[in-house]
Amino acid sequence: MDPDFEALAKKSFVKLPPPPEWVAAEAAGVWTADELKAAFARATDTPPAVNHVRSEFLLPGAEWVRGYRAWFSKLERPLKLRFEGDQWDCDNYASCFVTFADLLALRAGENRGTLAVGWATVFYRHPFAGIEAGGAHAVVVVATSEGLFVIEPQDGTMTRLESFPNRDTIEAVYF
Amino acid sequence: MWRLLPILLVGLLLPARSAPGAEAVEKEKGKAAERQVLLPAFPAPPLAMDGRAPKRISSLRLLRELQRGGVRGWGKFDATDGDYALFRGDSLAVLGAWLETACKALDYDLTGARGRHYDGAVFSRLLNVATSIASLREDAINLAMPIGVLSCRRAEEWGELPGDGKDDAYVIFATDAGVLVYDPPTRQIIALGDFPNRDHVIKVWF
Repeated sequence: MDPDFEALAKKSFVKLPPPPEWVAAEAAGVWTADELKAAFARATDTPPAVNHVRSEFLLPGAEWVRGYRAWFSKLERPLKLRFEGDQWDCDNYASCFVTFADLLALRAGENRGTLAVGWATVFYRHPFAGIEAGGAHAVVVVATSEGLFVIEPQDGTMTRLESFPNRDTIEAVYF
Repeated sequence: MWRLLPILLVGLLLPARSAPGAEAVEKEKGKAAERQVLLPAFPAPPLAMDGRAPKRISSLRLLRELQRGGVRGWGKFDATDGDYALFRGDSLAVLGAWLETACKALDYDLTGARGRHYDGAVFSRLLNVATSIASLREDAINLAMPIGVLSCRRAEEWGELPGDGKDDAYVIFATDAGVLVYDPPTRQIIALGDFPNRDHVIKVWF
């Protein structure tokens, strides 16, 4: 397929605020897919299906993830994000969080592997971060230098997987 | 009067002395601008239309389309939304252009990516997010964008890609011309039914 660059020629650029600096040395750890699955199995007796393409994952530094989470919360206005049925819902928020983390790593020239930042579908038996119990939801899952965390991308709440009240009903994770 | 002169001089100098500060602020602003993330304006989704309404496909019909295209076996398909738009099969070139331009803006050489670490899921997600954000500018479409990830074993050669048994991932589009498989670095695109590794699909997720 030949890209149609002419169709883009008149388009402007979207400017996003300066992101947290990617420090390659802080993302020094690597987990295999098996290690990732084992980490889920330690936190719950009903570990989710983990979908992935690559067999190794680069762990971002936990501090970077905290900074990134704060940066992501500033994107809502420039990107004009709003909840809109299937068009933009919880899985879009989660996927968007993962996508921009990937982009920042690419932009920094990070080429050692796939970031261990994915998104997950979860059945909510318990309310968490403003999301009520009784329905399906999507969140972000991040394996960092300090272990596995769950992030609610719509408000930035971040908790260890072991403390996530719906850890037993995570259905699938996508990296 | 002469006693006041030094004070007056200091007063006159103050703005001049603050100038380097202003320069520093400008310099910092410049640095911040350099650190800003620039992306080409998100591409309007090339929606197939049925009159004034976008054509749609349910996740169940999407599953049937995948099966018709040769994806066999249970548990190989996940969809997080109920209904998806359909793209015009002949209008995807603008999405390819946007992806390459976005990568260039990030200093990432997409067409050379196959020589380094490459994960096709990253670029499928990027296209999905970009078109989904762009779709928010349109009138309420209320449909998810039909862009997913297809992971498979590369058992058979596909154009420039070898049949070396490694796992790989591609972008998959649901269009009015059927389901299409797209590899951004090599720019190859093919109907799912003709995709040489359709019998080796591991998972498709939208």
